[in-house]
Amino acid sequence: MQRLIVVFLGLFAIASYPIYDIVIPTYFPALHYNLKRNPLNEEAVQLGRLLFYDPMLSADSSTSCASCHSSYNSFAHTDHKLSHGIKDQVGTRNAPALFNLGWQTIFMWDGAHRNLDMQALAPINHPRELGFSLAGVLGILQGNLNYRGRFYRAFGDSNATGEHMLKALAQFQLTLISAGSKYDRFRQGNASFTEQEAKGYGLFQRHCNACHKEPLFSNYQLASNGLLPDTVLNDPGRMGITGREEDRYLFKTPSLRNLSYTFPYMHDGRFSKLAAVLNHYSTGISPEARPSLPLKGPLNLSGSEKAELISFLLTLNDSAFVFNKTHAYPMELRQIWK
Amino acid sequence: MKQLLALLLLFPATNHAQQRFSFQPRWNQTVLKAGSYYPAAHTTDSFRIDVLRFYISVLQPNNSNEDPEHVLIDLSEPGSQEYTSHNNGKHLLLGVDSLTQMSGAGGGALDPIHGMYWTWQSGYIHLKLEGTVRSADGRFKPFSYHIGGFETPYNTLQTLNNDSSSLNPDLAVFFAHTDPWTQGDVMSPGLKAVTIAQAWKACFVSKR
Repeated sequence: MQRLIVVFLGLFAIASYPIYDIVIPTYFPALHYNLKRNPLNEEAVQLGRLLFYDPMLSADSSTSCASCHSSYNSFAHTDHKLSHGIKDQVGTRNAPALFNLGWQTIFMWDGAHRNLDMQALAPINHPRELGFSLAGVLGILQGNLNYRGRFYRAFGDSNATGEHMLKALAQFQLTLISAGSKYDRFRQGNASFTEQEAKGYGLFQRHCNACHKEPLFSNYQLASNGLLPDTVLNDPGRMGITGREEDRYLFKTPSLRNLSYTFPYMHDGRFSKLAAVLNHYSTGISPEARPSLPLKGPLNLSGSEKAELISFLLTLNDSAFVFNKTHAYPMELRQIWK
Repeated sequence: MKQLLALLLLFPATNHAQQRFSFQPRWNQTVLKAGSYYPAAHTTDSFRIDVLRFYISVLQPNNSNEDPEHVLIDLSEPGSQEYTSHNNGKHLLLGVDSLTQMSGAGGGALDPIHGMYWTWQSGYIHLKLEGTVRSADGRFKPFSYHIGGFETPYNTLQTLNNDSSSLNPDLAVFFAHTDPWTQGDVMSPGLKAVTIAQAWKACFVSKR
């Protein structure tokens, strides 16, 4: 009996530190994120998930990452033009959807961050987002025995260090892979497009694929899409980071996956409908906004072409991703603060 | 014999030479103390330093696959000013090397908890220098230099030639190149930061 218990405990010890395996479709490019520096394990992913949903990461314990990045909206802040943080403060940009982050080379609309781990420092510290500090967050985590146990199980060290907190958050976010849309099934040979969708796919490849490169539907580079700045926000884009005139109006190209869940669109959420977005690309591009090369001429899409393009874009919706329970609010969070 | 063998297996022979470095901030020949005013030779102003923290990267030889070592030196922690490197690296950088900057969250000296990482954009702060300048007629002005940036065209990384194990920066040299009255606050990457980084490098070049 004793031996049986030992064997059982031994199994438990191994089972409590399992490698977390992410499934990457064969037609996706190589992952940009270096997993060797932060190997995924189930405990760290779950710790990252708890942190992602924990409002204790904000200065007044009111707001979490998930407040503006909700799982059931493909981790966007749906129906909010601009996102708001603590004390009802409204920011200056539309919170982007979060998925396939392991392939992104730059983060934030202006590419301010170059690495997924460190990106989390921005919302934690921003006065209009979580309005807190790394030291403040770590102090709170360090004072909670449940979290300390989680840190130990994830990283073999019960101290809530900045490195481990950021790596855990990155691990959870790396598991947010959207690859279950009709388009994906088409790529795998398990679905076929309708005639309208197929025509839309052709239009997409001709007019959109240069920047919104499939299968991720973004090249994750900076570009101007010919949108003049909102006169109130007057957002200079990338130039706000570099101070260089040539970077004015450059924003990161977002992915076109999950568009039905992530409205409104553009960095300032100015368009609530896909039709309005297509109207912009068709006839609304402003030369003063210095559009990047692929957009130098107007697309002049006909009404039926717009309908075809939209029907293709809707094949990029991934409901399996949006309703994936392993990404949703973790009930264990209630136990953590008991 | 078996025990000896086990020991040998546990501690594989290493031919890595250890190198000791001293990074003790000075004002001319004097050991720099936080909070004291120091007179300068080139002006009637005097300078007080309250915060001085900086990174040094010890790069591995070219044929090595190992990561660079990173040292965070703090004026208020004398223990941080002595460093023993465990590699044969001959090349030192003032700041955190670009590869590490792109590599994600680091631990130890690189943990962002030290306040040496920008939050609003990517990048370690290579040098944090804060204090006050005082004129002969009793006027004061605080200054704040948070110097970093590793992307072109405003790369602020500076190479040091490690031909001496004593690399004690002389802050008097810094203020011979930098006037806090006209350029008192530089806290983001850009051309100004590049100029300040050059003044910072000069502190290591003169009067070792």
